Amino acid sequence: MNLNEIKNDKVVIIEIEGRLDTTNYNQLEKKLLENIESNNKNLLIDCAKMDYVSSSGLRIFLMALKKITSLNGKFVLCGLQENIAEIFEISGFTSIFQIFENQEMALKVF
Amino acid sequence: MFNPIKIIRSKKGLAFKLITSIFASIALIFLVIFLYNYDFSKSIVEKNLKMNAENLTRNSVSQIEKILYSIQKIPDNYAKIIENTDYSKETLEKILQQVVEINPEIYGAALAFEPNLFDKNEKYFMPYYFRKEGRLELLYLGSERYDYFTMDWYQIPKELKRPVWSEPYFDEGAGNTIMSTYSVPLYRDFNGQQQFIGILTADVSLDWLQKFVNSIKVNQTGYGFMISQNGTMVTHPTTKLIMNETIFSIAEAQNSTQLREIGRDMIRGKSSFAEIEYHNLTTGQLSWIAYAPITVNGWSIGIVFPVKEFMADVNTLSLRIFALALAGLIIILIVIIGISRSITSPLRSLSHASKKIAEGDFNVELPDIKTKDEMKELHDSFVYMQKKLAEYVVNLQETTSAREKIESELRIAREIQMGMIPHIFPPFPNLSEIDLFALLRPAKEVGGDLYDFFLIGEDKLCFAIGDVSGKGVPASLFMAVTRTLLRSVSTIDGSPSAVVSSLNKSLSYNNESSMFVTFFVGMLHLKTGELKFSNAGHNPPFMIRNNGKVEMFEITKSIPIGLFEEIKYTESVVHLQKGDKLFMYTDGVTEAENLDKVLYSTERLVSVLQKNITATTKQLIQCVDDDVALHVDKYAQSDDLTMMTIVFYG
Repeated sequence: MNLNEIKNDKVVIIEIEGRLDTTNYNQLEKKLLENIESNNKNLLIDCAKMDYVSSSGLRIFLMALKKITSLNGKFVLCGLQENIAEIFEISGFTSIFQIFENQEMALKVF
Repeated sequence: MFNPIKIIRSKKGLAFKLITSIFASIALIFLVIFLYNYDFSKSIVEKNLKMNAENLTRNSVSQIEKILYSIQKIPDNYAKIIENTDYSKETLEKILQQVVEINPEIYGAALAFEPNLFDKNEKYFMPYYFRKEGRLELLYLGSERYDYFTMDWYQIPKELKRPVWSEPYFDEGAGNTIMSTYSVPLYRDFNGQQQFIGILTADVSLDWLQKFVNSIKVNQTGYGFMISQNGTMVTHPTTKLIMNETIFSIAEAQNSTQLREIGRDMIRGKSSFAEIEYHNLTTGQLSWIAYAPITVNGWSIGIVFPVKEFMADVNTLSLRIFALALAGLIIILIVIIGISRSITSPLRSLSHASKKIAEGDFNVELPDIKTKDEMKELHDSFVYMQKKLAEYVVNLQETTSAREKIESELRIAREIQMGMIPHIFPPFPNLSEIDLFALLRPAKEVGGDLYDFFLIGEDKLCFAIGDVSGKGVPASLFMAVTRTLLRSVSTIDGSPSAVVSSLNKSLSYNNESSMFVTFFVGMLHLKTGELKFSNAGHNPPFMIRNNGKVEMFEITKSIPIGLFEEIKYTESVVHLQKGDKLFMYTDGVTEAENLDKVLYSTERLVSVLQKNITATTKQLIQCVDDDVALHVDKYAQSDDLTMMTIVFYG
């Protein structure tokens, strides 16, 4: 998995490439916590290149969502691939995450 | 823990290799030096020998010629006197007497005139003075019986018009010595023309010549000899050969073509130095012959050089060098053996010690190295290795025991976890309305999947399947909490949604790690077949209808439990007909990966379910499990895997 971070004044965009599973979820966890600690409260996770996410990965998304929501920030997802969107659908995460089709549309939120 | 390593020692050890290679090369060097020295010394000796031979022959020839010249001068002078004298018989006799009398080396002298020259009436005129028993006697030779005109001593000088030495001959009367006759042709002036009148001869003893040649000694067995114009032995240390053999008859007897060649060259007046296999009659050894002509009389002197005697010094020298080299080699051999022993014996000890270390004996004593060389370094490395290995093994034993402890604890944890979920099938042998089978296989020792079922009252079956995010020990703890809470919140009048909401509230409280559980709870009324269920983000189960239709439960879009306390969960109702089956599973089934990271997929699961609609609960789970195993092949199980089927008989 590769993590690609893009920062601008308003938002930090993190692009996830490859598989997010038990072997590497802590990399994402570290990156997200770093941003939260340095008061970057607006985070956009671009999942366009993420092929697979395990429940351990989902847990990190939820953790970030909870922490950022409590800080009055925004944690937004975009570009979910079909199989991942299905997982989100089944697990009901579509109802708790703000999910957009692509970065362009997601960026309007901030 | 340690496999004893078999150390194979080559039959030809280091010491052997050192000894053979170094010794062989030094021996070779010695051999080359030795051979070169031998060859060089030999060539020097040969060169010197050749020079000596030339000098010796040249000196001998010149001395012999000097003597011969002095002897020749006597008859030559008298010949001149006769040629220039008006001679009478008395005068001639007087001259002839003088020739013999005052020249001790001359045994006899004769004057032979041409037929009828001295006296018209006398054909022969040949007075001859010779020594007999210390006195001089005069004889007149020449008669019909002794017709001297045809004799060689007369004919040859007359024809050649110069003095000639005769072939040697043995004269018994003249004191048993070898003689040679010197014949000088006489001429007289008749009317301005030189006319041959006769021959003056002098019989010369060659005793002195024999003594001279015999005095030539070369080294120990070398000698000189002389042959006449036709090869007859004139002098030779072996007396019986003299006058009895020629060089050619000796060559014949020895079957030596080389000697025959030398003989030819000698009588042709050549001089040379030849190496031949000349069988010296006394020693039979290889010899060289140097030869040179005596031009005065056409004879030839030969000197035999016993080469072996000259080479004796070279051979002695070589032998001594060889002995020295041999002694040197032995010393070198001893030194090499000593050095290689000093190398290999600590090596052997180290090898022995390393074997012991390999067998686990870290306290084995290493050999004491006193030198400060590479061997010492090796020894120090060994000591270091021994120390480090001992430390490592202690460390390893500690870690291993720690790991074994954790493993054993995990095994116990697994037993506890497995003990928390029902695992006796069929679970309700007295209930005819339902049959149920379930399978849980964690990816690690313990896992985060769970299933549970129990009766509430007499006619209500409560069942649940869930999947904690993540796996391993954290997930298993969360699973245990969930499973315990489930039993405590499921009351007789509770509904599935109430159970889920209650569970969610408890799990969400202080859940800093955001662990969550996808959870499906169903309550089946055994009499009516009414199924109430609530799904918190879990994979929707499948309903396999008694008519063979496979239906997926609706997607409720409810989020998993353990995240937000306030969430209210809803519930739905379906009715089961007799023979309808429920199939519940966790994503460990549909997301089972193979080596190429290809997931098993929901589609493949559905197709297996459709193919096995008549299967019993256990058979169905077995079929899916086998098909998943087929897909995964040799790849390690990636996630916890759980399945549960319930069939409703009504």
